[in-house]
Amino acid sequence: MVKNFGQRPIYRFHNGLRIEIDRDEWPSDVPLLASATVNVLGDGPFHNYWRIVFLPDMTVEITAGWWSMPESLDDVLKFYEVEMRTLGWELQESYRFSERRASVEYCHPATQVKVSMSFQRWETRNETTALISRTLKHPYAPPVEEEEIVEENVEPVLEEVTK
Amino acid sequence: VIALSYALTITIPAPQVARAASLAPGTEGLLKQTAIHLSKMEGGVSIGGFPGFEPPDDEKYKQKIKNKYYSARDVNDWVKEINNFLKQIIEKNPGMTLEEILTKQGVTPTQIGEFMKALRNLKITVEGMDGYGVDPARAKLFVELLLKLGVTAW
Repeated sequence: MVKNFGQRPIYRFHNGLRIEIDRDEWPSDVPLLASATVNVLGDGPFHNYWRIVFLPDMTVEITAGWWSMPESLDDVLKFYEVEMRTLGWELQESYRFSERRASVEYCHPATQVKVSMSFQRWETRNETTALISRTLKHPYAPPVEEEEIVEENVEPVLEEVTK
Repeated sequence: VIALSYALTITIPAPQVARAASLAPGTEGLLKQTAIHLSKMEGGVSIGGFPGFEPPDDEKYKQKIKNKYYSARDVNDWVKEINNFLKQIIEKNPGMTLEEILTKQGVTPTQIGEFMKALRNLKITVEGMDGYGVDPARAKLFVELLLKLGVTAW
């Protein structure tokens, strides 16, 4: 999924990592319109990313992208309604806040991946933006302490030797 | 000693009493300010039923908001303010989730969804801009405050 593995900068947070991703590295299970390009803000294109968060009992994997499309909000919503259903996603939540804003959330029953999408139409820029976040939680159990392993393995041997 | 020869009866409608007893004074103002700052990132629209951001009489700033030309530094400034508001909301209403607070405020379920979504969107944005103009400590605090308010980070 990630190109140029090992040659890409990694940004370290207090509890994880962030790796920036290009359009062709976007997860294939979350469709994008062919016209989608990275959303541009005041500083330039948003830095779409793959983020890994380390928590005591889980690792959270988040892929986030902010996309811009010329299609109308209704057309974008229609695209996702069809494509996500085709890919087996189950709709969890759907809001139409106004003519210009909507949001949906999906969960995939096979993988338990969750996707959240927020859409907004910007008439002055003739574009619809989609802020998409794909999240997967991986359970984590800390390894057994090394001292316990040593005690378990060494004590019987010591007993044998000292007999 | 003057004896009172009559009793003064005051009747307060029950819902208002419940609301007044549940939310600390000033909470509504803090929610409104949070919504206004979130609105800056969404073109000035109303968030959660609260008024949208009205830019000052500055054409450049108006265009910045209207066309989302804001920078990571702008987001950094706005997150600082939002952190301040959220901290106060938490201090004033200990143990309550944001959803409970907004419900007590009389915000509808759809508006609550909008408010929470705007906060989650800000989190996604902040984590992409972290190191590009958004201060990492500020971003970290923002996520911690969201968790304290029961706003699921993931």
